[in-house]
Amino acid sequence: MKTCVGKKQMRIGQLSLLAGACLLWSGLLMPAMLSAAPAISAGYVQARGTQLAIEITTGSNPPASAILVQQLPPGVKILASQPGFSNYDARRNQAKWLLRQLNTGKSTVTITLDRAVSADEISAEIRFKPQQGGKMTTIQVKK
Amino acid sequence: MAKDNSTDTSGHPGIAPMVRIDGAKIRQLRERNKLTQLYLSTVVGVTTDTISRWENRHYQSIKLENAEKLAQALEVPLEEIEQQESPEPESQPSQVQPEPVDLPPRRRTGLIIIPAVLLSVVAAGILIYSMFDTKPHRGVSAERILPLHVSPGQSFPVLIRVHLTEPPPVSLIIKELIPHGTLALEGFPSITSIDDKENSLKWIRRIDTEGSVYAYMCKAPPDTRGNDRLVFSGTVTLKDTASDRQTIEGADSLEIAPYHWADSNRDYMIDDEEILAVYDIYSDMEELPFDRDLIDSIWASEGYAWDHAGATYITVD
Repeated sequence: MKTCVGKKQMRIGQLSLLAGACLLWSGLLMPAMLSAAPAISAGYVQARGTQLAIEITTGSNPPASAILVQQLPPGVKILASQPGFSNYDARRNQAKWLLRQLNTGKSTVTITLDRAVSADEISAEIRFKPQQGGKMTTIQVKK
Repeated sequence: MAKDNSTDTSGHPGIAPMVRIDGAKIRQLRERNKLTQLYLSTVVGVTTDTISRWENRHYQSIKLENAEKLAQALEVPLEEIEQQESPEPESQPSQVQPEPVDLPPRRRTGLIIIPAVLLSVVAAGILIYSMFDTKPHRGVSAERILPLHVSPGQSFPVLIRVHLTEPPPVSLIIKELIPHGTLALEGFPSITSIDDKENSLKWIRRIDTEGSVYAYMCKAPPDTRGNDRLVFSGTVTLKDTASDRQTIEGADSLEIAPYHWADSNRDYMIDDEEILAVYDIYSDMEELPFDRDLIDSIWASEGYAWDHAGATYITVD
């Protein structure tokens, strides 16, 4: 009789633990994981030479706009880009693209330079607001 | 407040004259006589919680003295509120112990654990639901979004976000009173009517989604001075519920100042954060003519200056 009651209590304990875990998963962890999925990611397809290419991937809920910032070595000029850059700061050797109306999926920015560069000489980042009314977030473009 | 004397032993510590009462019968009699728990509690001299407990437990042992007062308040003989179908022989006023059922201790532990587990699961569910459910409990709510400032004679966007808390489709009326001397320009969706006398504009729409956005461009009066404020007000009403008219919440005024409305930190520049905020807030309104080109060119330049005489912005390269 003692053993039977003890087992029953253990089973109740296990069931309550399972129910608690399910609630924790569906109520807290799953939404947190979903919201943690990045709205944008980006990586260089080509990160050296005179041609640079950056592939930008936007998730299912893309931000309204984003800014791509490409840092170049001193003296290197952009001969052409697709799409055209919005702003070039000669003092900082920095070009910016304002990317409006981002759609879900992949898009590529290509840059033609006046001289070849190595991957170590360049860097880029993307600035965006992941949530409406939220703070600006910056992610690095992977090499 | 009535003092709960239901545990008073009146000079008989441990055992007092007790009687088992029928909670359901008490509730039934109280409701039939249109009495409140507060009335009963006052007559008997216990708290309303005690009356509630007596009514909600099927059978309950209470002091004979209280049972008599209770019966008197319910205008019935004592026998009528006593337990009628007791398997126990002592169904008449007698000396009984307060514990109605004597179960083995392990069984009782089990009986406590199961409801406790169920209660904690329900409580956790309610807690999680309340954390994620932030909807107001009325049919509709609306929030106005305004820039912080605008230069004299310049146009600026006004956004009204409407959120339904009842299932669409519904018809609604949005009425917006704009400051005197301010001109309402284009609206998206199209403004249904503009009343120049009252300086108001209205949308009458049928909407099929929980959330919807209404926007219009406004032009500040040219003769305003710095530090003047333009004050807005408005209401949103669902059709057939005119009594439930809701005030449009959110921003209700903006200042006249020599800065572009998108330059929220007033540093004569539109930086990355500010331009992203513009597209973030107004992206729903692609057709809204809020001088995107000027904002883009100020962002791409070193900054801007406000030319008061020419009533225009000059970009600085």
